[in-house]
Amino acid sequence: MTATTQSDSVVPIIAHGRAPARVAVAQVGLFLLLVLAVAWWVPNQFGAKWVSTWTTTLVFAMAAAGIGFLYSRLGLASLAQVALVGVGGWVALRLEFGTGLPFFVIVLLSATITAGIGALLSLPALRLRGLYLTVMTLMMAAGFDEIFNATGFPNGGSGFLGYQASGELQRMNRPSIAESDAAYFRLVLVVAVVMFAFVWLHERTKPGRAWHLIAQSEGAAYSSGIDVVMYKTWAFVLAAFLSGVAGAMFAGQLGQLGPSSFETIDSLILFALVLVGGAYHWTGWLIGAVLFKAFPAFLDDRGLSGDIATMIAGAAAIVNLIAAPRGIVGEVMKASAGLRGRRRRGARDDTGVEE
Amino acid sequence: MPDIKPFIVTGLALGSIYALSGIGLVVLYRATAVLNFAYGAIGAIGALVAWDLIDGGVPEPVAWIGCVAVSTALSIGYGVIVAPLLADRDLVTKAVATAGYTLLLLGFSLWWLPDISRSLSLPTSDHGFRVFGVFVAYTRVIALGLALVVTVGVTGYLMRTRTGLYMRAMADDPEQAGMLGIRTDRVGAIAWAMSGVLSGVTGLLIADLIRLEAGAITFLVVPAIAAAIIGRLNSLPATLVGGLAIGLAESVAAPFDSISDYRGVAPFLAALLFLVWQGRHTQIQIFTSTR
Repeated sequence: MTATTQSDSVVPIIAHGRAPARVAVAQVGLFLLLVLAVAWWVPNQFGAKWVSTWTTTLVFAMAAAGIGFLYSRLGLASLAQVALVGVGGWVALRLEFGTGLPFFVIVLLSATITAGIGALLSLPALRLRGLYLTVMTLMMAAGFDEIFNATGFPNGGSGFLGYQASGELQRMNRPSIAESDAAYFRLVLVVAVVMFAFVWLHERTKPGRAWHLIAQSEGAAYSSGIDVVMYKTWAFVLAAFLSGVAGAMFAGQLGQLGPSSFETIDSLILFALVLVGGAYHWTGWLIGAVLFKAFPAFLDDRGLSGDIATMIAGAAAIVNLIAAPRGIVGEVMKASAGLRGRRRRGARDDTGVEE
Repeated sequence: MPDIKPFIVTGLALGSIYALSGIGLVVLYRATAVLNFAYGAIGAIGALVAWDLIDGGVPEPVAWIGCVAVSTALSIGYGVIVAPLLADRDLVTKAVATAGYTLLLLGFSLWWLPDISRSLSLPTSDHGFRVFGVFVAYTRVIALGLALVVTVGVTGYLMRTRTGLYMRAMADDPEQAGMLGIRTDRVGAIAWAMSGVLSGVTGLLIADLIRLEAGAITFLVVPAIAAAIIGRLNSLPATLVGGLAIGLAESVAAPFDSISDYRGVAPFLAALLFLVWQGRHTQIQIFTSTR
């Protein structure tokens, strides 16, 4: 994981001699058109159950983005991102029933608090080598699993925990602009796009450059004056923030949450699926989330057990790590780059230019 | 103050299981640089096989042997087929691949035998003795004894035998060990086998002492990893102490209502506090090699 962290797609752009900036504008325009198309198409195309499934998929795509960029940019494996979605959801519900602040303020606050908790718990491990973070996040996931089972999720009860076993259960309110399921899907889509753009912005600016150098060599980064621990913590904070936003949006979607959505195994499965989708590209993060939420729903529609999806996730992750570390997206890109390369070579052969 | 004596007995047994698993992890990590997250899942399948065999009318001792055999085979299988393909990758990749193996095995066991209540009871749990008025079943004594014996035995094995020497050489530098003529693949397979036997035995003990549930046994790898962290992924005696301490803390917290529900956080807290304490003088650790 040294020189290979650079994007493969850069090469053909330079070879064509086009200005990268103009390509980026075209790409962004195309991307936004695609987002608009999805926002219009999905709620019209699917029934209530699948609109809800796609909303959940987008929620977890934000958590997947955290996993993907930590792994691809820094070689850090966080196995706690679904647990941190639970933390974000817990905090959002608590703030909703405790303060009654506006929806978007709650989303931001709970994401910030989640980021703080994540950073605090991971800091001792971030100062050590990467394996320790992997291990500590696995334990963190198991720890939050226990805590969620002990406390439950706030549902309008009294006290700090805000949980009541019986009585009138309260639900988290959606913002007035997105009360219906279709509108809420579109809202989550917009939030997810903003979050992906937030990650992209980080990668294009100073922290991205620092992360890149750290991934190449921690020693070199340290000796060239980069605060390695600070930037690693920053990366983890960003990932936890994404999970926090996801948790708050999830709370808004369902109104109430339960511990069964955030078990230890779910954090492992989402991590495995981001590897399968492709950690090195944002489309891979999206594919990871689709495999995480939409694929089991698809199996369920056909009467198949979700345990099969778990088995496939595990096996596919191993195969990917061995044979295709860049996942499905990486393989597709390699194949298309190969095709393009062959076509270009073919054109040059016609003009008699030798390789 | 509630009477905590029975909880100390439970805690020592629980801690012994954590310690045994932790030692299984450390032995493997030292020889192969793989931190095996699938350790618990391997033991879980072994225990479920034993349950299935006993359910089918097979005599108990045969079923126990079947459990250990299946766990060992699953461990060696991964070690021989998958692990070599990742041999030149970094520690995180090696560990993460075993997380994939965990999902594969856990998904399989949930699909094979859905998580309903099952029980597997060892005959040693029917008998026991009394200490300070607390009944101690022999199974708990066996767990503690086994933890001590394995710690001493494996340490002796690593220090006194030729294979143990090879393992220590591989732990220091696998490439040089290979160049000096050590069959690293074979020594690695032996480490996977040792780890597999331990996971099968702990799987049986857990099924008896805690519960027979694939998910629960699989994630008992978490306190085991915490114990291994306290052993700095290196020292077997420290892993033993760490495992026992975590088991005791978790168990003794049970009778106190205010913290009882949260006692499952003990492994994470123990490992976190250990890292904070251990890192109090460290500014940053920088590694240039893969180990």
